[in-house]
Amino acid sequence: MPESNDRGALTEAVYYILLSLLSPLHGYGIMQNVKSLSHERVNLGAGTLYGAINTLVEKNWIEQVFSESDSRKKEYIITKLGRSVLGEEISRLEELLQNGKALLERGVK
Amino acid sequence: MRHKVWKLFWDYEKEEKWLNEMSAKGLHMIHYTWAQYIFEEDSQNRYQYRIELLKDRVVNPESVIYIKFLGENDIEHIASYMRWIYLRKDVKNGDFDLYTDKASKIAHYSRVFNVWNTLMIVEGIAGGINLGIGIINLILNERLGNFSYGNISIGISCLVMSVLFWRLGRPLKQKIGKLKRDQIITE
Repeated sequence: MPESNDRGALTEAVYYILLSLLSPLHGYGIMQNVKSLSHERVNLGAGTLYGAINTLVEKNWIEQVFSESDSRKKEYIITKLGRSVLGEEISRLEELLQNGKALLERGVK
Repeated sequence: MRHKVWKLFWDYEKEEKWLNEMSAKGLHMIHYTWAQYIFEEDSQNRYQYRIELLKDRVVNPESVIYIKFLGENDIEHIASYMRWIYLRKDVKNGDFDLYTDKASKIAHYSRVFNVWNTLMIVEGIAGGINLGIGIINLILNERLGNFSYGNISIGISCLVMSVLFWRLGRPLKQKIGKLKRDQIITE
């Protein structure tokens, strides 16, 4: 896959946006979903979300859904590429978590 | 009932604070043109106001799409002034922050900083040139014409404006610097 070498850690906002878009959602839905997923901890500002959506569409990690119902609001869904990015990120997070837990436990003894 | 208030702000964050204080008193801004604010009296509702500097002019298609997006998120576009937009959200619909991560905050502060910085440079150059011409002409015993004091006063006014814009930009530059330093260790 191209660009995978220069791809860094996802921001918290992007990680949760991608997770939210495993099913189609519009901007407001993403905000609400991120809020509930993070137990109210991550509150996405509309300006921040707008910028993130545009960048993710440009990178083809998400795409617009064209549906006949409620065409007033744009809906988005994760792409195949987006899913693979998410998968890689989860592996990276697992590594962080395992190392962190293991070393912290060892440190206590 | 509607109220008209004339007030001039240089600092948009102070302006934002003032609009929110007014709204807490039951006076909600509904229109703005040339330092003239129109407030609507309504003790039932309360809004949180935000002022944003857009990348492009309000009529630009990109800006139109963005403002429409804000509308879908319960954010009302109240008024505009050049690239500035006045927004509000009913407090019943939750918190209202436009930018919630360091990268997007830096981008917005930088946009505002660039406006003040450009004006500072333009006023500074205009001030310097006017002051220079005035002084040179004075040294030459007004050989070039009877305009020295006019140029000197214009020059000084421009330099005063330049200092004002520098003072507006300085706190933003500090905020940007702090955010960038923090960005090295946290998102």
